[in-house]
Amino acid sequence: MKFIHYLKTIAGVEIYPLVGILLCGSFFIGVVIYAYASPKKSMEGKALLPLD
Amino acid sequence: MTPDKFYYDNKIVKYFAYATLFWGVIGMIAGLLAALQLIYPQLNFNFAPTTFGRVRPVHTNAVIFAFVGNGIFTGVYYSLQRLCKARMYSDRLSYIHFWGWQSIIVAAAVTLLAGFTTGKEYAELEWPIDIAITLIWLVFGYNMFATIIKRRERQLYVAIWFFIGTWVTVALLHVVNSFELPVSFLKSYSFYAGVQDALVQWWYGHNAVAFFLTTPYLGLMYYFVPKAANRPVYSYRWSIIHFWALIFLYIWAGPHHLLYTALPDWAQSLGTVFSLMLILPSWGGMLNGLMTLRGAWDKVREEPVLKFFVVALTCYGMATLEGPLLSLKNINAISHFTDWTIAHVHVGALGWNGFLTFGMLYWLLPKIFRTPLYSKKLAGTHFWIGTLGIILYAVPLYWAGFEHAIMMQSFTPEGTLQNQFTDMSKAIWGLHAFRALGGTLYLAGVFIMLYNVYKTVKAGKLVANEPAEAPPLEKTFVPVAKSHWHSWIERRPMKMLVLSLIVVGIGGIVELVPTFLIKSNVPTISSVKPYTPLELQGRDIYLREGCYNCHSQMVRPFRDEVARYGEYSKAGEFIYDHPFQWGSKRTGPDLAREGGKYPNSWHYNHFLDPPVMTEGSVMPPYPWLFDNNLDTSTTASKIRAMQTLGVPYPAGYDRVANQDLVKQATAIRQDLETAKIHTSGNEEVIALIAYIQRMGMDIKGATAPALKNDKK
Repeated sequence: MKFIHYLKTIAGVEIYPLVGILLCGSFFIGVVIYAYASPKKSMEGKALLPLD
Repeated sequence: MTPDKFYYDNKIVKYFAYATLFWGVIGMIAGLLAALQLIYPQLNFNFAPTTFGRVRPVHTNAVIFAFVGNGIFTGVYYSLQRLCKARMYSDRLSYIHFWGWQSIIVAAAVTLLAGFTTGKEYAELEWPIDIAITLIWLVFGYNMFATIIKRRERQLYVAIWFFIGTWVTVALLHVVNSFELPVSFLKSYSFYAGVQDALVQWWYGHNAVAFFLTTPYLGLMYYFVPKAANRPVYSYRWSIIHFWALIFLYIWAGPHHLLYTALPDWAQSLGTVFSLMLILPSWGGMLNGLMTLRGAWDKVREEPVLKFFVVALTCYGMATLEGPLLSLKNINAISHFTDWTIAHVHVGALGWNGFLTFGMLYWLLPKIFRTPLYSKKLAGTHFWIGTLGIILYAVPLYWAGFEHAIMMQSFTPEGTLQNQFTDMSKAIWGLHAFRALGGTLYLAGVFIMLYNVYKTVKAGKLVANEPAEAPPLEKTFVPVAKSHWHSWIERRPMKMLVLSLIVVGIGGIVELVPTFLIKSNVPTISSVKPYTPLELQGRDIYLREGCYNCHSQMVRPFRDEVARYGEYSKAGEFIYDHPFQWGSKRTGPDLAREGGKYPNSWHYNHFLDPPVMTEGSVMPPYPWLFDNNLDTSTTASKIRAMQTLGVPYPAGYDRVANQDLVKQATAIRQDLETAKIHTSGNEEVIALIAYIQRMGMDIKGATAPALKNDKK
């Protein structure tokens, strides 16, 4: 008696982990692209905020 | 433009800093007592409020919500004002927050010691306190956001995002996990049952670690490490990635606390995958912190504050590497229910939270008292003794974890279990003793710090209102040159709040929605019946005494567990368990199949003096269960509450429940008479025995449970 059986009765349950990974992957890649595409100057300025 | 003149409120920072130290000492003493009780059970003092089952929740709640909680507020109230170039929005709200939080802590300690508990780890506080926490959290949030809104610095530094993310997620977690139905002033039942309750609880438990012990402290790290090193954070880009990736991923990883339990496989696997992905942002953050010290390592040699920060970050890195590894099923099979988990969380708690707090206070108190630290040398001593304490604490417990797992899994060549449970308890006794020694050293370090702080404070004078000036923000902001979207969001706190909520919400929804669908998908096992009134009362005593702190109720599908305890646990067995009691640590054996294993008289004598029945047991005696009579006036309201929660007692059963209760108690009393044990039948222990004897009987009792909905 495996528990996967109970979940199989939810229609389209396989989509959950799949959507999860895709969402996370794309979100992560998006943030990385953004962070590295932004100008270096503005980053340096913000890093100095606590030292003002 | 003429700059505004204003004052930073340092008095509130001082208040929170003192509270941090005060509750730190209390929480650690409670922890040390609990550790000593595991090696000298006499230290339970035969007194209900000082037994392990009540002391341990006091310890966990005190160090998390009182020590670390006040640590967060100390750091937030100090850094937020400076990063926003503004005084806190309202002094009154600051002090309502302060005194409200301290009152909650006192109420929590008193109620937990008195045995009022919801029985859900790290969320043990009863409903009136839960409501108070919500209100005070709102006060804190309002004060924080109002301060951010009236700020004089347009950009929100990364530390503030972490504070915002923390605030909104903790609010969400606390409210969702605390759904409970009050039965009386200090008693409630969890709204959820069984598998659902477990999933919500560990979604909460895991994210409480993430959003109470990690993200706010990362905010503090991003402020205080650059401050103490006097150089900007290594990479601001990394900090952006760190923040978004961390809050997005963390929330998905909760199910890794429930591997091999009756939780669906796919949810377990999802938890594992996301836990592994968490290594990336966590290590990015740790390296970002450590690399901030590039070119300043000579300072680390001189400056105790930086030493504390370096070890804190290293422990953060170790704990966040270990966490994902523990979520791999084959490793989890060893670590779960053993001391390995305790070692893991203490690397985080003692190393990351403790040391970051100490470093922050050593840096900040001299600042607000305008005087150098009384003794750097003593701070250095504190650092070394604390580090030694962490090592002496963690290493023996890792060892004990492995020993526990190996001994429990060993079979003789003939195929029978090689060790009794108590063989293992005895084998790890010495390791537990070393752990207590490690804890003692760590606590000794804190006392050194108290002395150092006392001398520093005496030598200086608090600058209660620190003057500062900054130009006000212009009403219409024209961004210089080309801007980008994160700059946009970094200027808008409310949108940041909403976006954070969406980001954590996605993970929460994907994780929890199937849980709620489960209700219709957990097969009802027809032999699983609601608890009888006496068993229900007994179960509440089980909760009150905190039995779940040492005993699990979850037989995993392993050869040794099935051989030792019986058939492995099924999701359908727990549908009437408000709250679930799966437990997280086996200091004693699993109880899921305890019913019918021993006669009533065995349990009676066992509760009176456990080592007499089980040689080598470290379980404390429970003499008060024999003196107190069961309060049956609550039976009716408890039955009604259970009916409201969907437990199928017949209509009107609340009025006759006590008749059944007396009938069952009488049967147990008569059975005890045959063993020459004379009772009135009204003692609390009778109810507890009834509950213990019920555990697992639904499955054991029925020869072939008829399963609806199962295609086996």
